[in-house]
Formats: sequence, C-alpha cells, structure tokens
Amino acid sequence: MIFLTTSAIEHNLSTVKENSPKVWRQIRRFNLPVQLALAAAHRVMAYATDPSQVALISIAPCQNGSPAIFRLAHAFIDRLENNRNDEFRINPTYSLHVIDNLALSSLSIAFKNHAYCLGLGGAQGQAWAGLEVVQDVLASGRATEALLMAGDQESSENLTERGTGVAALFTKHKTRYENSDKSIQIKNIDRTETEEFIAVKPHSADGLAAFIDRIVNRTQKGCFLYNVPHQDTEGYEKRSIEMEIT
Amino acid sequence: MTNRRVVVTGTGAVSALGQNTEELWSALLAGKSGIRRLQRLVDAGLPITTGGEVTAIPYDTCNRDRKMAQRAINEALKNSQFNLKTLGFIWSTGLDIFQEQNGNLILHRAGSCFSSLATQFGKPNLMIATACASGTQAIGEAYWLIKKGRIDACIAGGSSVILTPFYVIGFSPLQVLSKDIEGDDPTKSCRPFDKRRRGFTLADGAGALLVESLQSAKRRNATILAEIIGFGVSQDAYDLNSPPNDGAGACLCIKRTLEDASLKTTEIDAINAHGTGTLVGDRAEAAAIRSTFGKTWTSTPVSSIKGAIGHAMSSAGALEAIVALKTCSTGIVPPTINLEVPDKECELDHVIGRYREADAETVLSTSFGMGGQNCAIIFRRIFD
Repeated sequence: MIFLTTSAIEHNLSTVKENSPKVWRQIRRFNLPVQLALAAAHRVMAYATDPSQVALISIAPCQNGSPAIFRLAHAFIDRLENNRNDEFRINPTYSLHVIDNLALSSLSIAFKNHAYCLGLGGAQGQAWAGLEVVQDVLASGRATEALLMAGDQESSENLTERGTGVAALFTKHKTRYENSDKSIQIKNIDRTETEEFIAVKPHSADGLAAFIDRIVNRTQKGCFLYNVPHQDTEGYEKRSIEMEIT
Repeated sequence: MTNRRVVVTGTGAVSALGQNTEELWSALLAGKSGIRRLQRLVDAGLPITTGGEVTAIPYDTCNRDRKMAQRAINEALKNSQFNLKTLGFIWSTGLDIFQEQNGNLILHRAGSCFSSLATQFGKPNLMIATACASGTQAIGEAYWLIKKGRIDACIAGGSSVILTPFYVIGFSPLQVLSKDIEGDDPTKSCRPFDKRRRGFTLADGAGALLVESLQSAKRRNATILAEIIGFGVSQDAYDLNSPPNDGAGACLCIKRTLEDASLKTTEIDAINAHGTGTLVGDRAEAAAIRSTFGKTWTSTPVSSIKGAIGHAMSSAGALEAIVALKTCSTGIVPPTINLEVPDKECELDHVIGRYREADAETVLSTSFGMGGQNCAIIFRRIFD
C-alpha cells in the first residue's frame, strides 16, 4: 500500500521558461518529452522529505526523438543516396534526443540524488509496470519515497509542441495529498491478460496523467476501482487499480 | 517479505563472437576478436568504420532487432519446458533504430520490439532503459522480484541493434567512439584500460538469462548454472556524459551490491568490468574498484570483454553476466584482449594476454550507463 503525496501534469513549457529559469536552464537541451517530464518532476520534488533519497523511476517516451533528429536522419539518407562523402555533422545536443534515460540523469544531478533508480522504456503500458515498481520499492524498504515520471509527445516526426509530462510522488507512510485534507492510497494493481490484441496508440504519459487527474479530483471518499481505459494499456490486458480516499 | 534463493538455469548469447553461449565463451578464451571493418560504414564515408557485427542475422533482415533477441531467448529456454505465460519478461531493447532499407528511412521503435517479444510471456513485463546498465538492471530486477516471492521465474536480459551509420554519426559528437587511424588493425580498435585506448566500438548483440527461484529449479530438476546473490544500483548525480574521476557513483553501487549479498570484498574472486575503453570511463571504474576493494584489489582479477565483442549497449550487461556465469562455473577468467600496455591510472589485477585459471567461484559484474546509472550484480557457483 502506498500513498500519493503530490502530483503534477505539464502540457506547456512556457510557464517553466517564464517562472522557473533555473529549471529551464537544466532541461532546455532535451527533447520535448524529457522537458515535460522534468518540468513536472521538479514541481513534485519540492514536496519530498529528502529529495536526495527519493527513488526515481522514469518512463521513456513511446514517441521518442525529435523533429531535429528526423530531419538529420533524412538528410543523411539523402547523402548516402547521392554518394556524397563530405563530412556529416550533428549537433551534440541532438544526440541527447535519442537517449532515453536522461530524465533520470538530469533529475539526479539537480537533487544530488544517488538513490535507487530505474528507467523504463517506451513500450505501451509501462506506466502501470512503473507503478508496480513504486509499490515494490516502497514495500521492500529500498526507499521511503518514490517518484514516478513520464513524458511523451504527439509525434516525434513532425514539428510539434504538443505533449504531456506527468510526475507523482509516493510514500509508504500515510500522508495527506498536498495541502488537502484527504489521503489517496493505492492498495492494489491488477492485470489480466486478454485473448485479443486491440491496437493502441503508444504514449508513455497520457494514461498516467488521466489516472492522476481522476484520483486527485475525486471528491467522494471511500474505496473505488480505477479501470484503466483500453487505449492506455499494453493492448492485450485489462488493468484495474484499487484505491481508497480517506 | 520472504527471501528466496535465486538461480540462473539457462543462458542465450548472440554476439560478434558467435550465435550462442558456448561459441562466445570458447572464442573469448581463445583470445579472438569479433570486431571487423564494416563495408557499409566505409561506403558511407564515416570516420568510424569498425564494429562488432552479428553476422548470423544479416544487416538487412527485416525486424532484425526482434529476431536477434528471440534467438538469445530461445537458447536460454532450451529444454526448459516452461509454459511461457508463467514467466515474467524483463528486457531492454535499446534505442529506436533508424534503418535504411531500399533508400527509405524505416524507424523501428524499441518499444514495439519489446511489446512483440513480451506478448509470449506472463507478468511482469518490464522494459528497462538505463542505457549501458540496462542488461544488468534487467537481471537484477528479476533477481529482486524472485527473491521477494513476487514471481517464480523470468526471462531477463537485453538486445541491441545499433550498428547503423546513423548511430555511428549520432554517437560521434559525444567523443566516445574509437575513430579509425591510418593503418590500424580493426580488431584492435577497442582497448579497455590500455594506455593507447581511444574509445569504444559499437556492437550488436543479445543476451538472455532464465532466472528462477532455487525451489522452482529443483522442482523441475534443472541444471543450475550459478546463484545470484547480490544486486545494487546507484546514480552518479554528476554529469550527463562523464562519471566523476574518482568513480564515486560506481563505488557506491559496488558497495550496495556487496551489502545486498552480505559479502566482503575478500570474498569476490573476479570482476567482469564494464571496461569500455574510454579514457574517463576506464579511469573512473578502476578508481572505484581500488577504492572499494582496498588492499585486495591487487589480487582480484579483472577483465573486460568489450575489446573482443565491442559495446553492445543495452545487451552489454546481459552478455557480460553470461560470461561472469561461465567464470563462476569453470573458475576461468577470460582475458581483456587488446590490453597490452595498461594505463597507470587504471592499475588493477588485469587478465592480460591469455585467460587465467583462478578457481573463481564468486564473480562481480559491473555496468555503468551513460548519464550516470550504475548497476552491479554478483554470481556465485552453487554446490548442492
């Protein structure tokens, strides 16, 4: 059993640029999914008892890369086709756009965090696997607080500024959610495999953001079951999360 | 929570040195190199033309990433008779691949590769993405879940298909790849811990381990290759590209691993090092080993297999774990090929020239990811 301490959802980086220049300086060289995940994570870490000891679990984007990387890849193919042997250069910053664990690295550097960490890859449904890892980490005593973060974008191929970043801080001790008078507890995560595979559009952060949004805004107290919508699953499973708000 | 013993009962290795575990192991002991010059990189006019190619699955094979992974998984499962739906799947499939096919740019998503592999298995499905530490972390997470009774058995490891012109270009600005020099021998492009090293050589590969509880292995009368007795994780929290010179993050990781295993450094018989062949990486790792092991570093043999097969990125940790397992079961430590003139800053008990019969029973394997995620794992020969 774990308790949600706080959460943040980001769709827009303009507030970070304007209001948190220090954070923006730390995240500006990454691609959009990592920027959004980190923007949300920085907000959430402000509530951690000891940010240097928080277990960090991140989920890489399903729509990885960036428009810059795609342009470079196409330019490179064009160069091969035309047998051009002139030197092909790539901005080192763009190299960072294809590496999938840098949200973890950036956050650990910002908070001098040497604690347990896990990067999960950009496969559909990993958000729920990440939530299970948070449960295990807190239950096993590897940490008393754990952060789960994800970021993704609508498309990495087209020039887009649309994406979602989400972060949630959990603790093993009963606590109130942010400054409210309610406690949000995750009691169990259940997964049943289905016979049929129904395709979903892979996205690392939207499903988790929808879940967080639902539970944070729920006013009714008591136990309830959050059935993960099919589009937010792996495509061949049913997921449900048993919750209690007190 | 329960604490169960965890063992490895199957391995599968696809690398530049062969299509299976035995081919990899025998080639390593023979001091062979799987690194060669690749014509497609030469044709592309790149400054780096060497790599650890898996020749068993041709470069232009459709879904090469999935096929390579599947081959390693099949070997690990061979004769196990497991219902796959009873097995967890913890795997790293690396980065998305931009592959050129018939003049078109095809993007293979790493996540799609993972999902297509994962559908065979049961719960949990974890796709690990901690850069070069991914393969080791996949095995370590499997170990923890089995140890705590969450699951009975699991396929763990990683695969990596990254030896494409695009990634050669992509990694070049990071100044970590071994560039060609005139008249060089391609098999010597990666020289871990050597004074003349100039970076690592990219490689493809896949490594799979069948990890299960001791009870499960005994119940089905399986051959036990080794026991996993410790795993640890840390972050450098230092820099995106480089570790600290003193290897503090790696040192913390090794200490946590020893603590998890309730072992002293004197009880480690050999180390399978990350040993990539980069200046900063090798020096930081050597510093971490010396710092953690104190006086005993002088008598703890260290070897790296990256000179022989290259750096297989997300599968590197799994392939190295397989080699560590073979060291446990045979007692033999393979050599670090191409290490001829050790860097004074990398002073360790290196295995140079030929393999060493060290009667090693307990072996530490380390993996340090770019970005500062560190993982280490300890295997021990099992006597029963």
